[in-house]
Amino acid sequence: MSQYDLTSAVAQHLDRHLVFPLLEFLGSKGLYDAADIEAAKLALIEKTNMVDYAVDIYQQLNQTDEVPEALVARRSDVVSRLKSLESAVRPITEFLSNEENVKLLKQDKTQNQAFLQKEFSIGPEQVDALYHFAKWNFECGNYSAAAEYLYHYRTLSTNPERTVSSLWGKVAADILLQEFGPAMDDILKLKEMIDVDTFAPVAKQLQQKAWLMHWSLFVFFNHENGLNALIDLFMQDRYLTAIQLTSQHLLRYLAVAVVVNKRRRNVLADLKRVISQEAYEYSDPVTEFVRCLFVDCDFDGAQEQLAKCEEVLDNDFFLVAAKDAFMEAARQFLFENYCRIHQAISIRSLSEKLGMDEEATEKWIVNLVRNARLNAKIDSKAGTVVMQNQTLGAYEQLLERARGLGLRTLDLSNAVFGAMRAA
Amino acid sequence: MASKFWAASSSEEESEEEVTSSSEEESSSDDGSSDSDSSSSSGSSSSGSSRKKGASRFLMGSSDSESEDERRVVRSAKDKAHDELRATCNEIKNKMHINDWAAIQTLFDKLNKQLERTQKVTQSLGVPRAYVRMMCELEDFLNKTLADKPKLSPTNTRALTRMKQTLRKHNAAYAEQMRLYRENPISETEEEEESPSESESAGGSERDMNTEEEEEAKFKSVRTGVVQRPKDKILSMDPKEITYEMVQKKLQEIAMARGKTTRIDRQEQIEMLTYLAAVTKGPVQKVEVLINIITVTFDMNQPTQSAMTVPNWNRCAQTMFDIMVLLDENRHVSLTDTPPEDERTEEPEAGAPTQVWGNLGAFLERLDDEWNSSLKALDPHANEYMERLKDEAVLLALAQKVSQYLEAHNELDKLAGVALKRIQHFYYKTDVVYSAMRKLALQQQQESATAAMAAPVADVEVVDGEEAEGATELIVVKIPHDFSIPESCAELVDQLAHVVYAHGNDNQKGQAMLCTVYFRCIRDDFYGARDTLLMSRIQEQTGQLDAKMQVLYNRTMAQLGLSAFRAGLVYECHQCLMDLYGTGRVKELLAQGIQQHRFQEKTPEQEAAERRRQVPFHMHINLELLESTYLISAMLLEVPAMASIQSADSRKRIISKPLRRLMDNYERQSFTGPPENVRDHVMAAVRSLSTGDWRRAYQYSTALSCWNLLPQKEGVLGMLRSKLQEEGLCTYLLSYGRFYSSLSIAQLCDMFELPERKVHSIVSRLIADEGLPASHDQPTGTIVVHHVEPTRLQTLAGTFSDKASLLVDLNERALAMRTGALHTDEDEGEGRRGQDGTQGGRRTRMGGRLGGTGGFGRGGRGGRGGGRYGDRDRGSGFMPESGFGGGVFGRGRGRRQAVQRDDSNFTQLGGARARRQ
Repeated sequence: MSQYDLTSAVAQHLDRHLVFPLLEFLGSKGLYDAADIEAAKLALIEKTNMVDYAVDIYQQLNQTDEVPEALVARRSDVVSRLKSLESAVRPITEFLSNEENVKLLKQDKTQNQAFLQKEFSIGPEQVDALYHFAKWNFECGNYSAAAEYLYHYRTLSTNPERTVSSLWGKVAADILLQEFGPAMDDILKLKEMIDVDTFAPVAKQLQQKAWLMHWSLFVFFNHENGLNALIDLFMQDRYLTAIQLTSQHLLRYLAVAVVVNKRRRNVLADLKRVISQEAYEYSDPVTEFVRCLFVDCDFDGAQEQLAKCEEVLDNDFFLVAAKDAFMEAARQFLFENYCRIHQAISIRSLSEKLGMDEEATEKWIVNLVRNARLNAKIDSKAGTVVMQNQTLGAYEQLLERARGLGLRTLDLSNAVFGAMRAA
Repeated sequence: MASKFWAASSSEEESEEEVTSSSEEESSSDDGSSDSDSSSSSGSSSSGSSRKKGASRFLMGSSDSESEDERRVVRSAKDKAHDELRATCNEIKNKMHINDWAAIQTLFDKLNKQLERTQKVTQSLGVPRAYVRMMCELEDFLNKTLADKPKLSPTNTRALTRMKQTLRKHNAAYAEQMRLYRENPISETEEEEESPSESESAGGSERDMNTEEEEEAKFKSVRTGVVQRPKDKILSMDPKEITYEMVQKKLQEIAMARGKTTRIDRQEQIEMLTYLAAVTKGPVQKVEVLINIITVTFDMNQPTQSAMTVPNWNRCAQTMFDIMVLLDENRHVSLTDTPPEDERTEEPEAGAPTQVWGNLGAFLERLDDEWNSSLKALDPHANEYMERLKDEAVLLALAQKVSQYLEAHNELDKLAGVALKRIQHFYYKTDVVYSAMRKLALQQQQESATAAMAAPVADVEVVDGEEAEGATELIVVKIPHDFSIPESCAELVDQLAHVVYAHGNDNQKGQAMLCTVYFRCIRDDFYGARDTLLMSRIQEQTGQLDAKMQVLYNRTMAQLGLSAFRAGLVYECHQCLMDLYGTGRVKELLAQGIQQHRFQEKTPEQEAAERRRQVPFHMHINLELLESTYLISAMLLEVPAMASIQSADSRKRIISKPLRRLMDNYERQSFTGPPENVRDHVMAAVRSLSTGDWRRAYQYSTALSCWNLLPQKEGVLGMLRSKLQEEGLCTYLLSYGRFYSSLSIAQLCDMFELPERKVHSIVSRLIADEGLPASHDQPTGTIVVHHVEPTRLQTLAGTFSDKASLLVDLNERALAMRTGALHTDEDEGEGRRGQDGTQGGRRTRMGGRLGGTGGFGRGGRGGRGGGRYGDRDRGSGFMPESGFGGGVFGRGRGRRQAVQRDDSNFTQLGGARARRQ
């Protein structure tokens, strides 16, 4: 199953700290050797400032109690640096700790700067220090502090590059704190910033889009309206391009989101197109399922892939929660498409295809019929489902075609009159 | 060694000998020469002043053949040329006596032409003395006439003034010789008798002496007589006495003469330079001299008109190798583009960094161009073409050397140019061709290595001979021992491409990119190639590229199409090749031959430009294969589409116009014979396939001979077979499905030899996507068709509703045009395409709508544009529709450009299409 594991592909586009939950998850699944995962964690953490945690892992990995010299020295370094930064930002933190003071700040940043300089003698250096302090906190794993400082930094900073960077930091901190509401807002803000910045080199734009999409996975699969937002984001032309160019594996998440989200059938055509286009570069059971079902109409193939999907989803950090919804929706898609092109289907073969036993299948169909999702009847003597004729007669076709005409004409005439009146 | 020849002439006794020998010859051939002289003069006098060389030559020739038959046999072209020259001189003298300036002028022109021919025939050897003398006399006479101011007729006066001007200009080139002539007219007069007959003497000697060696000796001595002019003082000196300044001065003299006039004798200059190279005082000067040899050789032909001759080319190549060796040995010497400001007066100390003017990259480029143009001039089926092709190894070795040098001296921009040149030698080679070339190159290398080892003396001999014979000898260029050519072509191309990407300019990068795409295509890496192409976004700006790049782009697209076809990607293949074949000017677009067009006259300049663009034959893409590939892929797409039009009311668009056109023609024929060419075969296949008879269609398509060109023939034919089966099934169901009430899947499997699962999936797809009015009946394994033929009333009602909705559409559009709301509501999300694109998009979509119902002529195209809008991938528009400048979306712009561009015979396809409308 590990060939479908996307952790390494995804991790390339994530912050160090964000990879951590992925590794934790992998550790719990037992897809890889536990020691390997621990080693990976250590490698990951060595570059950060979470020294205590690193020590823990080190001891666990090597089954010892001793602490390596380097880590000890590192720890004291980190702490002293933290202290020095803290003293540098003290004026600001003091200023910010007072609710009243914060209310004094205006919308205009340059004005704020002058105001702070005058009243509290907080200059740009202190503001800069705040940024570094937040960053240091983040590196140390103190995410809540980091999030707070970054929030304040954004209101104070006039440096556009730093502002973007702090926003990224904020998103990461929010994700790690599992505060998906604010994270969602910030993701949207980030997206705006990236979209506006069309003068950056193409490669950088692409990279930023890829990063944004990867980071947003954390949010989208945990937020209540996340899947919709995911489709909205990923299906935008530029982001779709970015997916196709840099990170085709995101198609898996897109496919799951589209399949699960029943209200968004209209994007199915685009999904089909993209997936079949990229089939030579990326394919996994999920995309293969979509391809088999919607592009090739190969129901047996789709069925096979669906069986594999279950396992894949089970081992995917982001998708594990959406597994059941996906399986259900996928089955329904399969069935609907199957029925659409059939006149009569034996329940037995259907149950095989859906991976359920016959009785459950029958129940399932009855439910579907009852909910008026399916225009069919069960011939229980022959053991078949008989579809009712769903082709439109000539009469209906005609009606269908002429449906909008009246309204459109009315609109037209209104528009003409409006124009006349205006003139 | 080199000086032996010259030194000999300097020593007194020998020169005396020469004089005697030549006078001997003279006397022996006296009657012959006088004969021809008299005949020619009589001819000219009898024919009158207006009669030209044609007559005189004829007369002269006839008198020759009458009097002495055997002599005519041995008379060489050289002698004839000299005779003619002299005859003309005499004529001019005659005219001078009667002050007929008009005649003198025409004769003067004639004389110059003859001089050129003489130089060509004799392969060098400067200006005959008779000519110089004539010039001097002419000048004197002119001056005299001007001073005297006799009464002349108006024509004569005009001719006189013109003569004055031309002569002044003309004689500037020969100032030196004339000065020398004037300086010692005595020696000249002494020789006067001799020189007119000097070439004659060769003929005469041949007659007299039968042994060949002696004859040879005579030839040499005669030549010496010609070459040895007082001017070449430096040649007669002891090499030890020649100082740095002397060489430098001589060099400067030659450099100054460069580009002044075409009348300078380059060959002579080269000889001089070769001699100088041997007597130089140090590496710096030697490099300078060698560089001058190259530039002078380059000046010998006009690159736009004719290719460099092979010996000259070889000399250049060898000289460049020499330079490279020198530079390699003397690391402190480097080349610069800017000419030095102050003259060196002595050889700089060894080891001191010195700069010499010269551009190896440019030399290499020129050599490469010359090689290419000489290939173009040759008949590709002749043996010479192969021989010439073998020189590629030399070129590559040289390029490698040069790039090593440039890399060492950190001249990165030039390095990129050289790397690009090298890529251009590799990108079109398949692995087989490459390894063959590699083997040949290594073999050549070995040969030259053994030759060098075996006989250094022989080497000297060659050089000697070369000088003596004025470089008529073929110089064998030796490939240096350190030339290496790696086993894997892909790696090499990759490396070179990286160099270009890192250091090249935009144009070079673009070319390198296209070359690598091409390279990948012929190695069956379609996706890699396509992605590289798309990433570069070059297809968005093909209109702005220069013609050479456009040709390269078109070639790349053709290969991309071929590789897509080999990979079984019919749709992609069709997309790639569509625009090439849409115009019917494939040859022109690929620069593989000149096509004549019915409605278009080309100006000579356009034709010449097109000829220059041509790709050498060994790089051609087989057009037959390309055409079959295109037509077959079009067939595979078009036939099911046509069938679905019959069955459903879906408004299908025309996928391939050329194919449709062919089909119309085919159908119009009263009798259709058995297929002969590609088109016939494909048409026959189309006919069979449209009835669902895939077997016969397969037979017809495999009968094409061009498949043999594919190394992976079996695989491609297998792919073709399965595609034909699938499309046959689709076509069959769509065309004949409605005549059945049910079809058994098992039977379909049988008919089309497809597995059940495949049939099921194809049928399902037809039902789901294409609107086949049928459904599966799973328990019985059949397909039930629900087709109900609509009644007349229903059809009419349908048409009516269509028309009504069209009316509403048009009304909406009209309103939108007025209010300007169109941009916002219709074309949202197309903003990226820019202004022109937006307009194009709108037009195409409208076209689609009109075409679907009303049958407007351009509906098909509009529909296609609209459809493509849907399947553009990567946001850059996959294929050349946005490519060939304008393309589908910017058709309006394309038309405008087509009018504006001068180079309109290679306009973008958009323009071409617009015109046909």
